[in-house]
Amino acid sequence: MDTEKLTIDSLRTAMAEEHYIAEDDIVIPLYLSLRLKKPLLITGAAGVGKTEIAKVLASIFDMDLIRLQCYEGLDENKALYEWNYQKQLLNIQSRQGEDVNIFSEEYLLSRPLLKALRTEKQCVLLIDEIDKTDAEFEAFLFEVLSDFQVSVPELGTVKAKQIPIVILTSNGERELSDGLKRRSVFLNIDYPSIEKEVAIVKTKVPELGNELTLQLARGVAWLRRELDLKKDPSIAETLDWARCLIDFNADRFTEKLIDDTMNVLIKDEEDFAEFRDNGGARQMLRAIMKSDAADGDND
Amino acid sequence: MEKYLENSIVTFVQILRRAGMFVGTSELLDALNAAKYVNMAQKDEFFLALSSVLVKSPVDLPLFTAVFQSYFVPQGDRDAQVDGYREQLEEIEELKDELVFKDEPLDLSEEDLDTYVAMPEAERDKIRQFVEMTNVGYNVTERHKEWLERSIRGALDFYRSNWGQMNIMPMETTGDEELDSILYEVAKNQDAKDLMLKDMKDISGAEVREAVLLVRHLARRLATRIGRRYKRSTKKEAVDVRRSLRKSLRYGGVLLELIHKKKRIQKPSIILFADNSGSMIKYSRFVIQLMLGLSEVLPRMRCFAFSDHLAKLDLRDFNAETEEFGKIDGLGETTNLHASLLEFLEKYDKILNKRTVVLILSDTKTLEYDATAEKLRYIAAKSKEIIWLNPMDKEDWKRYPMVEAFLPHVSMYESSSIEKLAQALKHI
Repeated sequence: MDTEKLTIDSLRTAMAEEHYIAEDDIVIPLYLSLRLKKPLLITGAAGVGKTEIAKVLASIFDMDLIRLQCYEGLDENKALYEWNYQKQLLNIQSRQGEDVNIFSEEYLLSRPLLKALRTEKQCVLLIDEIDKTDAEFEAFLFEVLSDFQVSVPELGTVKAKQIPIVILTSNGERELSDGLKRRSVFLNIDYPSIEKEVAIVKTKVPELGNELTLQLARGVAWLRRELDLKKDPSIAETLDWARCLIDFNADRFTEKLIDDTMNVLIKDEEDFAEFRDNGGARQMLRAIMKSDAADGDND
Repeated sequence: MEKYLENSIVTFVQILRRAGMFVGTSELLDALNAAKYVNMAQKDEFFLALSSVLVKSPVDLPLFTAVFQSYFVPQGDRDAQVDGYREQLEEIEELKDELVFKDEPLDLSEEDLDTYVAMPEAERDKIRQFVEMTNVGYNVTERHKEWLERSIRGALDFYRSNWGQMNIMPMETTGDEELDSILYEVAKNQDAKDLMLKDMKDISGAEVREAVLLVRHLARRLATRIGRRYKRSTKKEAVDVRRSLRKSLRYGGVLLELIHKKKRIQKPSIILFADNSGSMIKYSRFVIQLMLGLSEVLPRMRCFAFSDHLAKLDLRDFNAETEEFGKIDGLGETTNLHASLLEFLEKYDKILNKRTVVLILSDTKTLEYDATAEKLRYIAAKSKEIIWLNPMDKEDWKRYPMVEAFLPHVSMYESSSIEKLAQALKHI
């Protein structure tokens, strides 16, 4: 698919074909970032499908996905390029007296950002969890994302051969700088509605069956809505739970089943305490069944 | 048509700015470009297109949505907005016309008239009744007009000193009737606005629990940020092998110079003084809830409540959701920060050091403010900094001499809402 001939409908269809369920609140910002050729900054809790968008785009447009996984302490050397010091040192020592150019391509280790700029074919550049880095690294990214070029003192200015599609993700652990936000199209992905989560589970774990899928989505929604968890269950964990139920050959929800499988959804001792303090599996089952009863009344 | 659309978007952005949202020129250009790629007849599509380039934080979305829904309306609805706004202006003039003596307007300043219009109906009714009684009283003469004016001025001044100057319109006007009518409609409906933006003293009833959950979530985010802080420690530095090797290249690979890693920074210790007098309790509950959340990453945190004296708080007993919060035995209704700080320094002077950040939550309305300023100067010199969280509207600060006295020693931030509190605490 060609980005220049893209329409909102064609993008939505293509994403569905890649099994990514997206409504207009996701499709339109993504579409605009592609048409305006601006980075897309995606924020949201962990596990709502932010990184998945970059993978889906790479698949739709048949491009390579170059990923820069951000972490605390990430600096330019790790993100952009580094010299292979060991090789340089060995060459200096083994060829003493000779004129050795140790700042050539042979000794250059291209990291994700430089790779994305130098690639012949357009690629998708995923800068994942940018909120884990510091403000200084963000400022360094401004130059890259504004002009798509970087300066390597020993080699000169490296300009992008093809402007990559840039996706930045953030879990919201810290506030990002205004400069970064202003250079990007913004998309916030919230936890899905019950209906959307049902659609996602049906797509990814179709073996579960309609009734259990709906109850599963209701159960997860109850956890997110009613409990004050340090970490709400993500979509990825919902899917894990669905696969777990299949392994257990579950045909209906029971208190024991919920208790036995809850550690797929809740990963923290304090959150477990919160779950137990609010009625635990019994209350969750009641919430699932109450919704079922309400549906029955509406029929 | 294109020109009309461009003008509409430009005006829309102007309204967003007036309503308090920051939108730069580059975002405006993005919005103009984005509009070309979507079907404007589809309102939802158009909304998503504009929001994705103009909204840069989920906190701004409710305001953006309110302005969008008020601005992009059919002409008939627009006319109704303008009519509604005109009616409001007429009502304001009618209220001002109530303050008369024998059909002659009382000699009151614009500020006094605005205060009268802006105050709650119950308060206004007291003044109205007083004016009516004076007008129909026995043996009333012209001399009583001056006396009535002085009494009303006094009452309005007393009201302002307790509650600050309130705006008669819920927003700042532009002078353009059509724009002001939209801003008025947006501001009027902001009573149901995002809890993050709502004044904490107005959060009550069922909203308290939701607000507490918001504050807990905020505390986790702040805790993550604070948990990553570094500063110099006295520990021996480790060698940075990679940088040392690089440096050795200029010496033919011989490690003549060692490069050391940057030293780790230690987390600050926090001392919170929360004003527990009168209406300040409604702010203290949320601030202390936030401190409880931060205590996980800042074990050296101490919280004190104060009014006319000091009381140390045990955060383990704290629950912001209960209505009983704040009724700490022995604390009175008046605020004397000086006495409280004296008590603190007598018992806890030794815990102040250059890593200590002192937080004070108060509207600055305290007795002995000159002496308080002196104590603040002393504490500021001994600690890293004093951050003052002031729930009072920033525009009112200049009316209070205490603020001017305290400002040389503290960094003061407006903190009336959870969102503003979050912004203020980023300075820790």
